[in-house]
Amino acid sequence: MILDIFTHSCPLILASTGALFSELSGLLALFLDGLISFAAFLCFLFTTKTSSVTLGFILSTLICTFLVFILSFIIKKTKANPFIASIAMNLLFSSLVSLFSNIFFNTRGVLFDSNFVFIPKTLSFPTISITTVLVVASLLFLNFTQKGTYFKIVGSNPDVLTARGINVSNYEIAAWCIAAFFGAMAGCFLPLRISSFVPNISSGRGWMALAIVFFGRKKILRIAFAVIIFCGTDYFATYIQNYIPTIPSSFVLALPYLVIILLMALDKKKN
Amino acid sequence: MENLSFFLTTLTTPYYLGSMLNTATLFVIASLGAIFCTKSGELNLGGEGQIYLGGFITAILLNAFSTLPAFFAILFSFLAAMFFSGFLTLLSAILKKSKNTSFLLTSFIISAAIIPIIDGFIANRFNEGTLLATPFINERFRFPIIFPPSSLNVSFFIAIVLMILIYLFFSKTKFGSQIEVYGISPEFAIYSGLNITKISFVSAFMSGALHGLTGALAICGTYYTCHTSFAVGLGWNALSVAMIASNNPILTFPAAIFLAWILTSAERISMFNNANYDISSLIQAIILFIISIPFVANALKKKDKNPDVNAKII
Repeated sequence: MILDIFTHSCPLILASTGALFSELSGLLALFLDGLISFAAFLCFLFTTKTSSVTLGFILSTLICTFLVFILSFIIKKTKANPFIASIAMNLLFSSLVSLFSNIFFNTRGVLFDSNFVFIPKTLSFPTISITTVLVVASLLFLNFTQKGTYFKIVGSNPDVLTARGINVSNYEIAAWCIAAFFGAMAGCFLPLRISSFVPNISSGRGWMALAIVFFGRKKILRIAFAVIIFCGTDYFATYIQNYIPTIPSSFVLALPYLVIILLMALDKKKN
Repeated sequence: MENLSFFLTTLTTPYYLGSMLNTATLFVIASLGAIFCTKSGELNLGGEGQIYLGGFITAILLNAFSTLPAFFAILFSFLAAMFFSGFLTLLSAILKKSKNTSFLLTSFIISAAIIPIIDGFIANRFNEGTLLATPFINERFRFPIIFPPSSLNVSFFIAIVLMILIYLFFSKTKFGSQIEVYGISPEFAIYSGLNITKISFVSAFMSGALHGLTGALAICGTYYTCHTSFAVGLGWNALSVAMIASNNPILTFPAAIFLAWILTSAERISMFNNANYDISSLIQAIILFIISIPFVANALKKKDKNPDVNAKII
C-alpha cells in the first residue's frame, strides 16, 4: 500500500518540485494545472501514434517545455504581467486539449487505445525511479551549485544578481521552463496508470503543487511534510469511493482543495 | 470574408445582438467585482465559484420564497447571494491578514472547492427531473425581457447604474480613493495611517458580492434555473474585461461589449462549422494573454481623470 501511495504521489511530487523553482524565481507558475493536462494528452497522442511510450514521454515533455519557453520569452520581452499571462497560459493549455482531442480523435471525452494499455504494477518502479532521480538532482542542484544559489535568490534579491552582472530574466525564464518540464513529466505519468486519457486529468494537481510550495515556505522539510499530507489526501480522494461508496463524488472532488484551505488556516502566520 | 460576415451578422441580427448585450451585461457586473480587488492590489481568481454560488443561492431561495411578494423575495435572495459570495471572498482576505497567504491562490482554491460542492447539491438535493439543475423559478420572479427574441432583460439597466455608481465611488469618495492608494502603494497607505484591514476586507467582500450579484441576475434574467456549470468561463471573462478596461469602471461597458461580440461571433462560427470544441476558451486565453502585455493595456487605457486623487485620501 505504501508503494501504491508513493507511486500515486509521484506526479504531485514532480509538479511541486517544478512549482518550487517558479516560487523561488518570484513568478508562480499558475499555468501548471493546465500544462499537466496538456502534457498528459500529448503523451497519450504521441504514444498511440508512435506505439512508443518513451517517445510519447519525450515528445510531450519537450513540446510543453518549448511552448513555455517561447511564451515566457514573449512575456519577458514585452514586459507582460506574468501573473495574468500565466493564467492565460493555463486557460490556453486547457483549451488546446479540447481542440486537439477533437481534431485527432473526434471527441472531447475519455480516450482509449489498444496501443495505450499498461499494467499498473509494472509502472511503479520506473515512476518512482524517475521521480527520485529528478527530485534528488533538483535538490542537489539548488543546494550545492552556484547556479542553484542564484535560483534561490532570484525572486527575493534580484538586485544582488544584477549587481553581479547576471541576467535575472534568464533565470526567471529558466525557472518557468524547469517548472514546465516537471509539470509535463507529472502529466505524462497520469494517463499511464489508468491506461486512458480523461478530460481535466490533472484534477487540480497544479494548484495543489503551488499550494504545497507556498505552505512549505521554501523549506525542504516543510515541503516534504506538505507533500506527504497532500499526497495522502490525493490518494484518499482517488480511492475513497472504493471503500465508502456512499460518500458523494462532489465531496471527493472538493476534498483536496478543502485540505489545502484547512492547512493554510491552521498554519502559523508567515512573516 | 465569410467569417467576417459572421462577425458582422452578430451586430445586425436582433437575436444575436440581444444575446451579445445580455452576455456583456453579466461581464460588466462581474468585472466591476474584479475591479474592486485589483484596485486594492489583489487578483480575485475565484470569480467563477462566487458567481456560481450567487446563482445557486438565488435559485434555491426564490423557490423557497414562492409565496412572498416578488419584490421582497428577489430582494432577500439577491442580498443573500451577495452576502454569501462576498463572505467567500472575504475568507481569502482574512487568510491573508491572519496567515499572510497568497490572496490569488486562496481565492482560486476556495472557488475550486465550492464548485463541485454546489454541483453535488444540485445533482442530489435540489434536482428535479433529468436536468442537472434546480427547479425553474416562478414566472413572477423572472425579469422582463426588453429585446425579444433574445434574453436581454432589465439587468442591462442595473449594470449601467452599477457601473456609474462604482465609478463615482472610486473617483468621488474618500474611501474609494483610499482603496486605490492602498492598491498602488501599500507602504504609503500604512504610513499614512489608513485602516488597511478595513480597506482589504471591504474590497474583497464587495468583489465577491458583485460576482454573487452577477450569478443572481443571470438566474432571474437569463436562465431561470441554476444548472450545473452555468458560470463556466464567466469569471475569467470578467477578469479579462476588467483588464481590457484598465480597471476603469466606465470602460467596462465598451470592453464587455467587445469581448461579448468576439465570443458570441466565435460561438456562432464554431456552431455553423460543426466545430464542437470550446472555441470561446481558446479566445479567452488569447485575449487574456494579449492584454497582459503593457503596451496593449496602455493603448487601451485612458488618461487619468483624477490627478488630484492623493489630495482627497487623508
